[in-house]
Amino acid sequence: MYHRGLFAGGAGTLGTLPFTGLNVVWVAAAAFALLMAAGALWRIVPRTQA
Amino acid sequence: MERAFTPARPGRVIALIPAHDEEDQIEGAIHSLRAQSAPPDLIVVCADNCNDDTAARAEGSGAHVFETVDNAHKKAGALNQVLDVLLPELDDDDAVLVMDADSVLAPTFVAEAARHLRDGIGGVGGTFTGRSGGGFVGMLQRNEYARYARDVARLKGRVLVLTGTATLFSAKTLRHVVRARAAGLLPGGSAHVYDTSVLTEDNELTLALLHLGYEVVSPKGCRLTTEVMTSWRDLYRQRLRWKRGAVENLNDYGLTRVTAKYWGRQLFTFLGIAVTIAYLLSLGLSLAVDGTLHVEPLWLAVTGIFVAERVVTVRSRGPLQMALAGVLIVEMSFDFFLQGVHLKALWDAALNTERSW
Repeated sequence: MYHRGLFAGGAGTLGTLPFTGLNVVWVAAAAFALLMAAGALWRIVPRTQA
Repeated sequence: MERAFTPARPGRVIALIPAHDEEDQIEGAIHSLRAQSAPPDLIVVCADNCNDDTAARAEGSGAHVFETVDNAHKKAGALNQVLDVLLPELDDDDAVLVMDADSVLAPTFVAEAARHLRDGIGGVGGTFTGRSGGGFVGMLQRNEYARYARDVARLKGRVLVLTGTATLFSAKTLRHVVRARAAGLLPGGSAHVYDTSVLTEDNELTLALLHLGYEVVSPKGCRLTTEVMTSWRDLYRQRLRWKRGAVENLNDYGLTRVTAKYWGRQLFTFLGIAVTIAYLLSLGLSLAVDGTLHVEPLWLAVTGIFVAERVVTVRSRGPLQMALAGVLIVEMSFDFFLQGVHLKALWDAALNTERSW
């Protein structure tokens, strides 16, 4: 609980990151956004729940 | 109290509810315990420096009341006082349920938690949903809690922290913690269950259990509801305490095999904040320089993934919340808020500013 909140939260924010046209400057940020997108996909995929 | 703690049979469950001025909520918490499919053998309300009717209402609801004496360490201190009396009277296979006064347990909570409390499991916590109220800020927290519950279920009950909302421990495990603290194997510096020097005693106890080799779980059947903060101000205070407490707990334990993944998450969160700041700056710059924003298909697709994630993960909250989540901007305010609080928590922890909670 104390550690999870920002993970998902940052994801939504980052989705629109490269709309700025400053992709080159923000390569690292874009890479992070892609990583977050991978995490988002993992959270979407159906999975057996305990 | 002495008579109440006399052992009656093995495998008893003792419920402890620390309460400071909780007259409005204590009866609900006690009622949820009495309505359990396997009710606790004893319910003890630790009335801590109460200036209201908490103790009387607790007694009126059938609970035993333990009044703390000269406690200056809030919830952790209150629990230590009652556990110091209780633990020597319990058998190894007895269990202690610690729950907040604002928690209301699902009827199967205790039975499910007891079923999962076996050797090697340090504590069995709950997954919680937010109670009604609080308007927009309350809604955001309910969505957050719903997503947390979904995550925990998908991880088959594996959690990072046993929250104070409600957790069942075995007496044997708690005694192990006390011995380890006394021996200097854990932080805390005194022979008690809880470390009274920290802001987040439940998170610290989780780390203690993990360092002693136990696992912690929150099974799907252990559900409860808890209150949500009803204003941004209250939410700020709560989250600042949680986030600073978590960082300080990690600092107390240092980098260990157990804390490595927690540190990793802290680093990842920090990077997320940095990227958010970069994003906002870039938005401003782009608008200032170009007067427009450039939309690229690749990133539109990535944004679509995030929208889908927001929508799918809040499905348990119903169609309206799914629709609202689909408009990223609605929940973005909450994300920015949490990131701001996190930065403040890091700042406060780094400078060791005065704590207030």
